[in-house]
Amino acid sequence: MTVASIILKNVYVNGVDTKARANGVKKLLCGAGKFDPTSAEIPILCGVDFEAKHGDKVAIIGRNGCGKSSLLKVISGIYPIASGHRHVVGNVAPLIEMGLGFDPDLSGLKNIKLSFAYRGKLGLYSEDLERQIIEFAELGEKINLPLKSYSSGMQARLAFSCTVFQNPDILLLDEVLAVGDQGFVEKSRKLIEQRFRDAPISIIVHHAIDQVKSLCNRFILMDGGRVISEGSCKDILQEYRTKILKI
Amino acid sequence: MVEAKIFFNKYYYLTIFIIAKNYITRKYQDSYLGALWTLIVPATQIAIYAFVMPKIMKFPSEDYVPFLISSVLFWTFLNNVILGSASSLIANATTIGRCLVSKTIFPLAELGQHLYHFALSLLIGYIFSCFAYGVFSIKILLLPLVMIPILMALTPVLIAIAFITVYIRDFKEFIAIIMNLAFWATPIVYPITIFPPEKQWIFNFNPFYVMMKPISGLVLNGSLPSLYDILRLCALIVISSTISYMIYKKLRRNFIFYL
Repeated sequence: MTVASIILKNVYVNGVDTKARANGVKKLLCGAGKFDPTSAEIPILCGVDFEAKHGDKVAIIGRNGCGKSSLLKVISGIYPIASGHRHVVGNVAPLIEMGLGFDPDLSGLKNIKLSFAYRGKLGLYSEDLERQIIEFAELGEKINLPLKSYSSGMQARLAFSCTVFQNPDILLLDEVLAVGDQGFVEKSRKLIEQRFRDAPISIIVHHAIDQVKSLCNRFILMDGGRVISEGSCKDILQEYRTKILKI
Repeated sequence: MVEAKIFFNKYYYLTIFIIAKNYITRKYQDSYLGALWTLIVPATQIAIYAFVMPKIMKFPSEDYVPFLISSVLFWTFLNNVILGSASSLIANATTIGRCLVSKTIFPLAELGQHLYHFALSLLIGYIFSCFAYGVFSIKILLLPLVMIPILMALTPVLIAIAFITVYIRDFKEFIAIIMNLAFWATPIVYPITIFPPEKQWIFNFNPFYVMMKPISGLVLNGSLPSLYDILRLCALIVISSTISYMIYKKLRRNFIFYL
């Protein structure tokens, strides 16, 4: 049996400003100056240390652009690290954005399979799972219609249902809590909370920590691409308000 | 090693199959003529070349149409799959930024899609050639076998082109120019026999010709590739795999930030 764990030590991630890079190369080719490739780099994570073990339910808080979602992408292996150490054991399900790979021209049914294919979860796919997803999304016969004919609420329900029907060792949630109309919001919230509790390691990124504090046993504050502190929900919330939001 | 493992995973191929199938379904789903366009476009091309080329180049025009069918259809496949793979990663940037599978599936799904269109157009073209020009040979059933080394040479190149285009966006236009030049530098609309035998060796260095000759020979004359053809293909596989792997290894790591 796999014992899920995450170890990130002094992790740096650098993105690229592709426009600055293209302009730099143009200048170089026209003989109008030198081009330093590092000048087009954008620091995304700057020396992140983070560990999680079986049973950890982690909430990560921080303002927009502080690196919360990027941290989840590093854990899931979507973002490569520039330097540092990354060691992740367990089957990861990043619920980072919903509707992964959805194609509006294809039917809802084909999109379910496509969504599993892009997640690398085809091994889990079965007719029974397909039926559960359709039932949960409350789409019935409409599942055979092209996705573009769905209302935005129906699309969101299908996207949510495709995303949430996985049983990973490490569940990564990026503000995906509930979608759709009032009834579906309640149903989806209950399911996602259940999944969050059941997964050996669960990490959630959220702006409103109050909404998730009952689910978590660890609270982390991020700013400027770094983990700046960890503590109780109350302390982290206090620090977030005073140090980051300055209110 | 991790990358090599995926080639032994059946779900890797199943994912490619699903995506390629969706590309095929989507391509003509709202079109009135649908998959018929797969035949109409190359048929028009062949008709134009069949009418114009013998007059310009002044070579004998008997059996020219079966020759064109054997070469133009394969060229159309090569051209479409190379240009398609060049934009395969950029066109799926949003999905790639979130998906967990190997990104090589995207150029390979392009390959799957164009392979299907090629098979369909070649089947119709061959049936036409059989009835109109009597070129039928039972050896045509070996075509899938002959395609294997060609695909082995082509696949790594498609992956490399897809990754290079992410870093250098102009690369797709560059490739389009190369393909235009290669069209006239390869015996596609003219037979190789218009060149004196002592000068034909130069085509050994044209990878498009090296890939095309076994297909063309089988479709046109029912002749299987010679040992020499196979050796040339093996050399092409080694060269294309080595260079493409080096490019892929260098570019795969950070490409997500360039999408």
